[in-house]
Amino acid sequence: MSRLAIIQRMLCRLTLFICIVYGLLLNVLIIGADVASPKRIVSISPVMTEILYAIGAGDYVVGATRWCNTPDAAKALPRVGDSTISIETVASLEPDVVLGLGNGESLEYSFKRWSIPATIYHSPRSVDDIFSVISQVADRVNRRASADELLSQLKIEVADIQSQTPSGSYMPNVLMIVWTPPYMSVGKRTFLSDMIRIAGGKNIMDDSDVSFPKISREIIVKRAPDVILLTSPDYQEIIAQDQVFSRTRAGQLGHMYVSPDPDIFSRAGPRFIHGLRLLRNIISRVPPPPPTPHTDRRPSLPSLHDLMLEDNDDVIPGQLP
Amino acid sequence: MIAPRYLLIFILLLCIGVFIISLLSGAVWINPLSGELSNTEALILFDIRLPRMFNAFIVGAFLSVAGAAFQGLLQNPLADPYILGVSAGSGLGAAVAIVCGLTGLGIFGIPLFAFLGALGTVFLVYGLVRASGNMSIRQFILTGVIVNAFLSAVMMGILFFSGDRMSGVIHWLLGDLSTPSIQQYPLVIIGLPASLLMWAMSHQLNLAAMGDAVAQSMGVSIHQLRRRLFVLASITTGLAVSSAGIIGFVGLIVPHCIRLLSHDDFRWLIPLSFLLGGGFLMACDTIARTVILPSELPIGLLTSFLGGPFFIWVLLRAR
Repeated sequence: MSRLAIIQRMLCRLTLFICIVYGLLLNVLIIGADVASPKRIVSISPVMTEILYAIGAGDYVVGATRWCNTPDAAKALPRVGDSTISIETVASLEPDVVLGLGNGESLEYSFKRWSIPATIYHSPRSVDDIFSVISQVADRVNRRASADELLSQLKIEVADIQSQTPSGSYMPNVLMIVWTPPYMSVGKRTFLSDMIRIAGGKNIMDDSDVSFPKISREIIVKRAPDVILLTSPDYQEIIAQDQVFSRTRAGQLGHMYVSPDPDIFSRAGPRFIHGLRLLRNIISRVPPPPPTPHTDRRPSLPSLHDLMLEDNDDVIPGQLP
Repeated sequence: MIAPRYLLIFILLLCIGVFIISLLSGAVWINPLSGELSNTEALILFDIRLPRMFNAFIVGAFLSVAGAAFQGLLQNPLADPYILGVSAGSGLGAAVAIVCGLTGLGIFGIPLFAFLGALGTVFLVYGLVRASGNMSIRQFILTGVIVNAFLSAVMMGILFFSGDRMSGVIHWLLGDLSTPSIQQYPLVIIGLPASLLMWAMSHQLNLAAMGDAVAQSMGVSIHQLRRRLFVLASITTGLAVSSAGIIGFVGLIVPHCIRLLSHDDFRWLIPLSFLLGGGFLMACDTIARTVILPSELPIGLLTSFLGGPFFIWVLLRAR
């Protein structure tokens, strides 16, 4: 073998060795960067903003959407968009990571094309999903300890509420109206339906596969809700004008409530516990039905003050548990 | 080809059939042989289902009559009640009402705004065409399409900036017969005379269909006819839209259906469209509210789903 050939072979091996070492090093560096706690976080969902503040990562949030109104500190953050996100604005904030919730695969992809690390989690469809998202976010931003504390607090309270309604106890029919007009309710694969179940009620639309089904007035009468909850004060006038509601047991016994703050029942984040407390509160007020459910007396329209939630002291918008 | 009077009998029978099926089906299936109705059944039947069926019938009927009038007037088989921008105008009116939070005012909320938006748009289109000095059919259609596109953009802009209220408007734009129909009485009191007046002009419409020159030589004042019919057809369309949102294809396919089955004499076309349009929408609504119980489909989705293939068939046949 000539000397030249030996040198050639050695050079080849050396190059290969350098490539492998460099590659390994690079890999470790990238993974290392991933694991290191991000110092600049942009949140592109109001629920994500609430989660980040609740697990003590609020100081690292450098950008949020126009709708991120909770907690108060989030209102002062630079805005990166609303229903559409301005990727250029996000990039100008030089984030270590962009976090969001929802069906954001295409968004995640476009952030990655701009070399901005992004994770978009699936929107929670149950209370357990909420816990799992909080937990995943905590791992992503390195706040395991405070997240565990928050999660154990939440889980204790959920278990406490669940224990108030042992299996076999009376479960009032609950109708939740999340939009009108037309009337829209919540189907089985939503965290709201799960919350109704935990609070000891039966969501009358929990056989619907549609997440937010449009419902007819016929169904409202037929399924006979014992409790009706409107998730926003905006719907109060329309409901008050519709005679159908006064024909339900909820309308006759005055078990119609309106949430003072629409966010309580639209955000699948740590504040779900407020909504759960409210639901438990109003569901527990319904007495079991009398032995003869059919009465012939002509019902009167529920008066408007019946629709107001009486004690909403435990709901202070903007305060996290 | 079927003689119009046999077609009339056929459509009447069809309407009666649809009426009976529609009356018995829904969230609660009513057995006509059981004799007595329970309290809940009576409530659903008389207070909820019948008013809704009536609403569906009248909306379908108004849209079809307006469609027949626009098709004759613009001598264009593609014309439908929304061709002059009525849909975008009423959508804009509704969006303004929703964004301003006027949804709770019953008839003075969305319905009134939608109706005013619809009428305003047609007057705008008519004014623009008049100002251009060229009152040809082409000018009307072109102006209508452009105003429609522009107002749609304004509406989408409003919705975009209104954020979370968006989903409700989109539902409304797909059409909706489920919400309380307190607006039925104005619907009938204004809409029925408007439909009858259009029927009264059917002889002139027949002449206009032969072309402007022929019609004018027969003593028809074509501009006056056009102006009156635009206003009347827009009133019925505006009423239908303000009551049920934008329901597509009914106004397009029903008059074509009558033309294909019988002939295009407006004296028959208008009343037959009225009946068939009403029956068709009542049938679509019955499917919409029963097929995915306990929820329901948007009505516009069904009419377009059934109407789309039909329209392609018309196009192929007309070749």
